[in-house]
Amino acid sequence: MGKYYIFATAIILGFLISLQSKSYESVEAEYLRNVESNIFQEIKILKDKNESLRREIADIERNIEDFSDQNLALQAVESQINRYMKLNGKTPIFGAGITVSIDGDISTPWVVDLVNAFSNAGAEAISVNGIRLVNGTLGFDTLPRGQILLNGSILSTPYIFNVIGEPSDMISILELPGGIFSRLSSAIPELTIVTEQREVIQMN
Amino acid sequence: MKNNFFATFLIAGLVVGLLATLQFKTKIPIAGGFPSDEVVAKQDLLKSFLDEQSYLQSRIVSLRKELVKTQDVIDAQTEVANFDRLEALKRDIGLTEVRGEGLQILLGDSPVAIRSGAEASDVHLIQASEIRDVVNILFASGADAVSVNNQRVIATSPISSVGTTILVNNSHIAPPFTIRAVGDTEIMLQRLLNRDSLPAIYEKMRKQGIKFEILKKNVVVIPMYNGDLRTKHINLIDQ
Repeated sequence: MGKYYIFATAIILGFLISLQSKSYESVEAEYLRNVESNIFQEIKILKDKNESLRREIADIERNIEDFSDQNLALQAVESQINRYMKLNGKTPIFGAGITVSIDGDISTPWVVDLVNAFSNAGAEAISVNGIRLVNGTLGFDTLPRGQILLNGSILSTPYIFNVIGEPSDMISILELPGGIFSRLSSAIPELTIVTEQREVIQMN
Repeated sequence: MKNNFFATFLIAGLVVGLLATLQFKTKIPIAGGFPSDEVVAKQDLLKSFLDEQSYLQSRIVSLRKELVKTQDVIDAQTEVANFDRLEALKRDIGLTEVRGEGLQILLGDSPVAIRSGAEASDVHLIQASEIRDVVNILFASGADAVSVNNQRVIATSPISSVGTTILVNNSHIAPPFTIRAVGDTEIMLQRLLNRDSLPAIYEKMRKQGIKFEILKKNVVVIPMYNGDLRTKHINLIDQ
């Protein structure tokens, strides 16, 4: 008779243990779903984005105002031309930034992710092995033997990424735990990543 | 024998009692130190930023259109200003609308996917990396202009994610994701239909049932870029 009692008790025990563990899982899921860093990160991104949108609005409004005066209008046109020439990739530029040198076997999707991470970190201009990435640049392609093709040129190692933008901000974002460098190193341990802050980077 | 049986039963009873107490003391919403009303408050804050962002972006678009009109008036009055050059530059950097023959690509989460809540699962969702891969293939196929959910993708447009939220140009976009591209439809189609170009998407389509549909369109409209242009650290080299 005692055996049956112990058996029944064991079943109840097992049931309670599994119920208990499920409760903890549920708590964990609830917590992970609302990880504060995610929502704060989102809010920070949005706050920064809205701030830069407001600056852009102020800039355009100033231009519109300048256009109401014929003398100022010519200056406004020249100022806009100068600004847009910095972005269209047809005029050489220079500025402070970082150089990231990557040596090793890296695939095209990782290069796309890396360039995306530079943009996310505040890059204003990017070049890869001397090829500037602008709107007219053809995307990254993979050749049958695994080489990376960009704008009709085969890229060879080491891949040199020149990035113009605020150097310290970009480095701190790129080197975050769980950031692109850390993920890249985890995915391809044999890769060598060297980052250098530079006062002047030139792009043609 | 009777004493042993009693002791076993007593210990088992104590363990059961302990577990029952632990069980009833587990309070899901408070266990993470994260009361649900706090979550709601943060989501409200997020929404207010998003509403503000939509307003600011539409304001930028309308101001850029107003600027063009003002320029046209000046252009009619003087021949000195270099408006043609300005327009060409705007086209180069994505500040004009682009229309033409192209493709419309739909990327959708799996029918069983849940993007928010405790059941959210990455494997059934479209990830930012998959959108990036499609956009990259389109540019590699010579696309003239690309947009994702009406966000114009320019050279420095980030396509990223925070949790399960996808951001293009740091603006929130929600599924299904519609990617539009103006360009040579045959070349773009050929590249997108090649399973080796987009292995992750084709595998997820087969295993998780995500949506990946491509439509050829006679006219595709890609809006002008509605974000800010970062040029603070860039200087022109005088030639």
